[in-house]
Amino acid sequence: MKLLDWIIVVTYLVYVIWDGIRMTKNSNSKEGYFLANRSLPWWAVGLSVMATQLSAITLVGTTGQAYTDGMRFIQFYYGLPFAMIILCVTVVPFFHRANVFTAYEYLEKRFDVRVRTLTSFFFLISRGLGVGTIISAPSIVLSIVFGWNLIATIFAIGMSTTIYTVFGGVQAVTWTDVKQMFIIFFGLGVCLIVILMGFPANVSMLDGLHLAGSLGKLNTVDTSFNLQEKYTLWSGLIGGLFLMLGYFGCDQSQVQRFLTAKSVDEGRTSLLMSAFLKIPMQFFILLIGVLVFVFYQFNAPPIVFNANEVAKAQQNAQFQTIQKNYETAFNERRDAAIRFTTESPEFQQNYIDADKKFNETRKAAVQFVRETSNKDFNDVNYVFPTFVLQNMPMGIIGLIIAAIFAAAMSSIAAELNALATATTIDFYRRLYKPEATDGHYVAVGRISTFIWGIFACIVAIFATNLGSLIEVVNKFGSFFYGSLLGVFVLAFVVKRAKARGAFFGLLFGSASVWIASLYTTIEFLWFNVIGCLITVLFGYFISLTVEKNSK
Amino acid sequence: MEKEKNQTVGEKPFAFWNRVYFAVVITTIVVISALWAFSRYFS
Repeated sequence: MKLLDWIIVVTYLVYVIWDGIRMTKNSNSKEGYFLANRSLPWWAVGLSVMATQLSAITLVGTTGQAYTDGMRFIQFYYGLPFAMIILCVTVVPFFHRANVFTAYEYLEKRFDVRVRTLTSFFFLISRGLGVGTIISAPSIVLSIVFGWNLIATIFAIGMSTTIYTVFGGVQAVTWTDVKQMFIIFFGLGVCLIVILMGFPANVSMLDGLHLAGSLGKLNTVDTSFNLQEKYTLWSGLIGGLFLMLGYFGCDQSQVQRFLTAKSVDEGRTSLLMSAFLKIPMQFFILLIGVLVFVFYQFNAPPIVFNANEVAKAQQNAQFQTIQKNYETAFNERRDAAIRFTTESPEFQQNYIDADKKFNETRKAAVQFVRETSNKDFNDVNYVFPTFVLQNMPMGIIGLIIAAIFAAAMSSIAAELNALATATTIDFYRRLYKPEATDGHYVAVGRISTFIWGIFACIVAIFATNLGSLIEVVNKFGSFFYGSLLGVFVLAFVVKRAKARGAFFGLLFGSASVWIASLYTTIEFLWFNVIGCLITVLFGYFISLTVEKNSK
Repeated sequence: MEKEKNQTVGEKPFAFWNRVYFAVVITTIVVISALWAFSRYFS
């Protein structure tokens, strides 16, 4: 990275912190700090909803995934628009009219304090650990690719976000999210132009897409019904629907976004913005990953994108032979790609065969790296940052790093703010100090935000040493969403549901997902369906054991 | 009647939102179909 890149990154960080802190004056009341006085316009809330979901690892991982696996991942989002409609009909008006600060506060009104506390506790545990991984994952990648100090990177991302969230509350979170979304897409737009400029003069974007399409990288609809297949039309429509209902409807980090909207109508419109834009947005991000893949048809890609792993493997003499085979296979594939795009479509099969051979040599190289250095290493997240570092001009690197920071910070800020809100409202105010001034609760909210920020950075440091922790946390999230959604389904839909049914239904639902994850090979999107159905079924039958007129 | 009772003054009518939801469903079907056509065209 050159001086100009550093100037861009530092300017971005200073601006975001300043911009967030100046919201402090509007955040001195409880309603102001946690809910922005329910005054925000739909477009700001809508952008904040999308920014919260778009974390750095989503940005970096999605482009990497498109590079290795093509566009299949887009099916993950096919259930989202339908989830948004259901939420607009049910959750948005329910929560707005109930005048609540947290989603779980509503559950006390419907059931009892036990259900509220348990669901809020589940949220704090899963999100508290989750926010640590949201910080650690991009920090690991950036520190390896750019040679930065890992702990300094974690604190640069984590604490800069904590500072403006502590002072500005939800208003700072929302308005910085809006600006961060523009930075992310401006950065990606510039990136797209630079990638296209890197193609050979006689190869157009359409030619590039034909290349990618020949290798099955542009498959966006897989109609096979297979529970062991991660991304299909059905896992996206059904499993994705349940996941999105759980995430947008029951996770405080998202619920708090639409609670800040001016009215029920504005809350609905903010969610429907995602319904219209999310799939095209993900398509654009995946397209960048695919075009990086096309770029590397004409320019030699690193044998493995994670430079640390390559350095360890290079110490072994056998690696030189592997590298030589890899280079030969690359040259053959490049020639086949040029013939296919510039001479005749008849060369398509030659190109497919050359790619097969290239993949075999790469597979051998990756296997060798696994055996000699780290058997758990995953290259996907290193593709995009390595590409940026090695191929982007001065200034653009800084812009893309700022965009990755923006993606990380927009998610972290919303999570910290939601964690602080649940801590203050569901635990401190409900269980410890029900009567206090607004200023007192705002102070508790600020302290909670700061403590959660420090906690997240510490978790992030530990998560870097325990690779499997990230997997555990992600799985825990899947246990949580389906079951929590089940509790809200009981609350909204099942009139006969009682507090005891909801409480034990939630426990059974979480346990069932845990068992499914241990003893079956069902892919994680289906966990949300299982957790929700088991919670509703058990919740309903246990509720039948309670007298009809009691709570 | 029940629906009207649940609607707050100043909110757009249910008929309006039903049209919006219908537009979301149609748009999603069109987008997924377009993505499928995109895959087929370039494969």
